[in-house]
Amino acid sequence: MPAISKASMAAQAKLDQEEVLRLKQRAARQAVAAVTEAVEEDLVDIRILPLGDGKVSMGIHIPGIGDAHYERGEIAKGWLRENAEALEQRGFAEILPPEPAKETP
Amino acid sequence: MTAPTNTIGSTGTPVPNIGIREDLENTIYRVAPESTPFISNVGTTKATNVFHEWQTETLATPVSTNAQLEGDDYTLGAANLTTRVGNYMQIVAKTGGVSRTQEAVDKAGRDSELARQKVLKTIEVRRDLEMRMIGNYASVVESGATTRKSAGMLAFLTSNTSKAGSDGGFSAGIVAAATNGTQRTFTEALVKAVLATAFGNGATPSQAYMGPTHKQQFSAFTGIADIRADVSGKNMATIYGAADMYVSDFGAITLIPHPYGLTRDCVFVDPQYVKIATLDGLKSKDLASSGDNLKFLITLEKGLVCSNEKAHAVIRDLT
Repeated sequence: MPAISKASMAAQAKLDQEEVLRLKQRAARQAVAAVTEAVEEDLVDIRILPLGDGKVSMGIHIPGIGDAHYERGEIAKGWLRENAEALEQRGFAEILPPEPAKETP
Repeated sequence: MTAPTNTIGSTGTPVPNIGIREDLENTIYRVAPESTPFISNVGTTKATNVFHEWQTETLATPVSTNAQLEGDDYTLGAANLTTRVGNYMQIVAKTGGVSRTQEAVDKAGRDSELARQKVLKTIEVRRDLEMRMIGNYASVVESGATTRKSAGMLAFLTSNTSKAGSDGGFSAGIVAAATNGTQRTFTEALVKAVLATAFGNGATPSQAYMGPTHKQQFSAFTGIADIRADVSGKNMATIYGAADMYVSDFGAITLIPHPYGLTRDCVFVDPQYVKIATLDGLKSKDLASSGDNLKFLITLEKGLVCSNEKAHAVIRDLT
């Protein structure tokens, strides 16, 4: 069996390190892509309709009582379009048109 | 060194031998979540129609001002009427088929391919039922090409719920599914809050079902219990790595990780108040052969009976 020289072991270790570095760079690039994707979620505002009065949660649960809910006419901001559309289908809310961008003087 | 030319050996050698028997184990290994914890833990009942109904009742909110005049005359108070609730029985089925030849050939790991297929399809049917029964699914009336469907546990619950969207619930013969909201981190504060609400409504759930990630997060909650089990005698105390029992302010709750049925919800269940209704149990039927083959059909027809949704609780919209 041929002996493995110190030099060849060092060269192998260097190759391994380069491989690890390459994988780290790849993971970092993918992580950045994932974060960018999350930021670019399609968010919309909704207005609560009579049918949804007291049925759409504000995401706050009061122990011993229950969830606090939006009331008729209230505007809930930052809903995922998919969830907002589901509420709209049930007649609980309507999706508001996006606010026009403010012009800078 | 290499083997001399023309040395007969195994595959890959200069002269691979001919006539060596294959080495194939007579065992088939299957790794898949087969358990159906929810339908196995809750009760059972019999259904006699495709729409199964039951009744619920409630008490008026207690008041401390119930004091009457001596010798007074009375008008009758509001009557305590019952509420009818119902759900549809769902047909869950799987089919399979094997050629006649496959039953005749010598097989490794099974004697009959048909029997093996039937066993696997039966497990799959039970898993499909489990998925439906515990999930957030609306009930559906059969109409035209639309199949009849049973509502799932998460859809029934409206009273003791913590959410970021909207509950579903039973109304006018149909159970609506809950609408998702923006997902939140699973915290012990959410658990404590919803359990307090549930207790206020008379619920004392004893089981909590959740997905694998939420089970890991739940195990980090402290509850009101000491993390070390009390032991007697000279035995050493045990420190649990995973909490399978959460001791809340309102009683102990067994934590049951669900391998495939829950992804964004943690549901607290009182198994006394939920049942699986059976219109027709698990059946295996041979289908008419249309050629040189054998066909079969596995069916069951069941639905969920959430006896009183106030007995349970849920935390929805978890990341």
